[in-house]
Amino acid sequence: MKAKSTEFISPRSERFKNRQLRQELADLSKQASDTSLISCNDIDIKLECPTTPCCISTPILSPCIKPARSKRRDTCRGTDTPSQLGRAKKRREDKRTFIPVIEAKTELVVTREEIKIIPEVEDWVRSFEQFSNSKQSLALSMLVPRCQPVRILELVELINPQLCRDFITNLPRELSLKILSYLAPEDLLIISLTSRQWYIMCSDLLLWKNKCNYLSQYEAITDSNALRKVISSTSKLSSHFGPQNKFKQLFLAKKSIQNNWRNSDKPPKILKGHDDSVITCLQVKKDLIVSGSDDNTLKLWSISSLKCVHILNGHTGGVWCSEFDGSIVVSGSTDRNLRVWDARNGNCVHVLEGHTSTVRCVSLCGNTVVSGSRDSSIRIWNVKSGKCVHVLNGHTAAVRCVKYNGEFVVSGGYDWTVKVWSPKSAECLHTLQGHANRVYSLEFDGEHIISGSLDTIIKVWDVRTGNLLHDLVGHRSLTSSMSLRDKILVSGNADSTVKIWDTGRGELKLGLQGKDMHKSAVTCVQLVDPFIVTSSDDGTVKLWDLTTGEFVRNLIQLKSQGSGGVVWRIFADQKRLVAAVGSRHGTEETRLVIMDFDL
Amino acid sequence: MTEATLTSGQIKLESSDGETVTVPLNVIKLSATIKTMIEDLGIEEDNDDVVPLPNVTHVILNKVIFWCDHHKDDIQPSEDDDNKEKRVDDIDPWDKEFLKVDQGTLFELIQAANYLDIKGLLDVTCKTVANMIRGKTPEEIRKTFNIKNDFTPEEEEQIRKENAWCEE
Repeated sequence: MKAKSTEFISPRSERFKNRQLRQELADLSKQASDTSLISCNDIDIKLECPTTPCCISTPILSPCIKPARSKRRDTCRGTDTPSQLGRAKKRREDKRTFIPVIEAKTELVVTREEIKIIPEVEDWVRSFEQFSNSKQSLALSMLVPRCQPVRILELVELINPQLCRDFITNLPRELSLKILSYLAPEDLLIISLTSRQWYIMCSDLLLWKNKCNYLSQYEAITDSNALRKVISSTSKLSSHFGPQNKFKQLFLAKKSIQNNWRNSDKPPKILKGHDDSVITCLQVKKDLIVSGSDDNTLKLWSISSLKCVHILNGHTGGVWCSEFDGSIVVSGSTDRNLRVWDARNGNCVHVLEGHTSTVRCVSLCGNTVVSGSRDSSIRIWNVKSGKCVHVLNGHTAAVRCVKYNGEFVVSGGYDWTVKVWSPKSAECLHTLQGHANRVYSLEFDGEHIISGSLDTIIKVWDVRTGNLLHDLVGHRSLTSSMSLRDKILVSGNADSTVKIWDTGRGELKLGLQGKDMHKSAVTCVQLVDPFIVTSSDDGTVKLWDLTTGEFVRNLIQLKSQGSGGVVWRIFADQKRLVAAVGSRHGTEETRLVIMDFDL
Repeated sequence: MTEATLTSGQIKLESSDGETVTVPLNVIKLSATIKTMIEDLGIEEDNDDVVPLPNVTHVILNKVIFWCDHHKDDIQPSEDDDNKEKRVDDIDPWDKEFLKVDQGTLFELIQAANYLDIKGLLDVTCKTVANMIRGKTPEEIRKTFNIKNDFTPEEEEQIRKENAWCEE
């Protein structure tokens, strides 16, 4: 490995460097001869002297040293190539193996620069070199005070670069990567422009893999226009620096999409439907959108063809809730029934009859759908057979929200309680009491239940013990919508505010406030890292920065915002936003607004 | 070696430049390399055995021991910490002061911490370098570390294009 720093020294500092080199050589040979413990591996050190061009070959320490009386005997590693030299040892793999290193001492090559040879100066320097260390110190201490200020300045110029170290180039690779691991991806991109070696280090595959640690975020990016553009635009770099780093490309594509969220002014696409009725529920899977409405129908839309593919006709009352897994749609209606639809042809496969009042909420997982009704009961159905498997009785008022994850059914009701059920035994495992009003919203991650209520408080519960873990206090009205990722909860409230909570600590992290806050009740919130998307009765969809809580921009502003224009529901993933919008007083047509950020 | 030896004993270390330093075991135990060495070799208390450290000069060794002495009672960082979010704003003020050194010394401290396997010291020295890099332009970095720009204009242009995807 070439010690890069030597390439950059000015001609004037050659001599200084040579002296240093010789000293190092002397030290090294001394060490080598003094220590019998050291096994040697010959590497030539070439030292070109400006005055008397010569080549000194000296054995240098190998990177392997055996501790005295060690029971183990480490084999010596070859050090022929720069990559081997720079390669780090995974000492942690085996804590008991000693593979100490001297990797900084490598082949040092000082190239000869054009320097005028002045014999009397050469002689003078040679005398200096022959001094002992203490004499050299003495000579310098006498020399420096005699220099004119301008010489001192020259000296500073000479010395300063000698004090610098190119850590990233000259440290063993694992250590350089460790340093770089502390930097943000954005920093890595900027500093990769420092030098070729820095670019190579800053493009390390594993380094970027660790930076892309929230891999779920990147799944959507692996098939994106942004990634295809990044790959084609950076293909030329491969001829200079080898294969491109796919994780870095993913990051760049993601950044590009995020920038479009922030800035893109591409006009949204519009899908008109459901006349002047309210859209009550909205799901999106790949190319398909399902919208349910109080006009008794659901519609299936294709985003790519911008068409309504199927109208799901059959309910005799308004549709209040739906679930969509990509192939089947399950809907619940004021007609007391659920219906199962085949998304491919729009046919109604089953009518699930049994509830005695409006079906208010559904949750689909695998072949099982769980429904909650104003009749206070919960029913578990098999969507393949269309049969009711269990009826869960226990709530004493309407069931407003339900979540099913395959293991637990969690329900919230107008009886102020949250209940945890076993879907297998149809037992109520816990009744979570504490809310002082109706429970309207639930989030459930398999471990914690988050419940939102008209009593203004959001509660965090443990699903296994049924214990209350935290009260999240701060809202002033009904929490209508929540979005949970890891331990970050975003809540949208009828008090027009949106808040970000840490559910692990039970603390408020940020309130999304200021002059740009919603002017009316928040209808939907969605966390799409690094953003939060919120919609409101005020006819807007807003984009916020999840980390800082800062307002980014209005993604949608209806013409009749403030005079009846409403955004009822939103869906957002990494690449796009779908919003169901309309109005209360016929000022605005009911429609879906689709914004694509993967340009 | 007994637990008692680890808390009360001493050990002699020899630096690459031939100086011998006597260190309490409860200080140098922060070095996984030396700890393992002692355990493997079974060095007894008050033994005259000297552990050679051919990669560490006495100047750096003394600094390392000084650091270990200050941190000897710390809770040791576990391997799991590597998976945690990489933070750099959590450098202890004492360490910050301790690491106000020239680049050459910092460079050698990193190598010594690596060789001696002192995780805490390696973390904090690497963080310090990361902090020297962060927020600087490539030109400022070249100046700080005396690095020559060896890109061809074409390469530089290509990398700028690549980075442009990230610009807002």
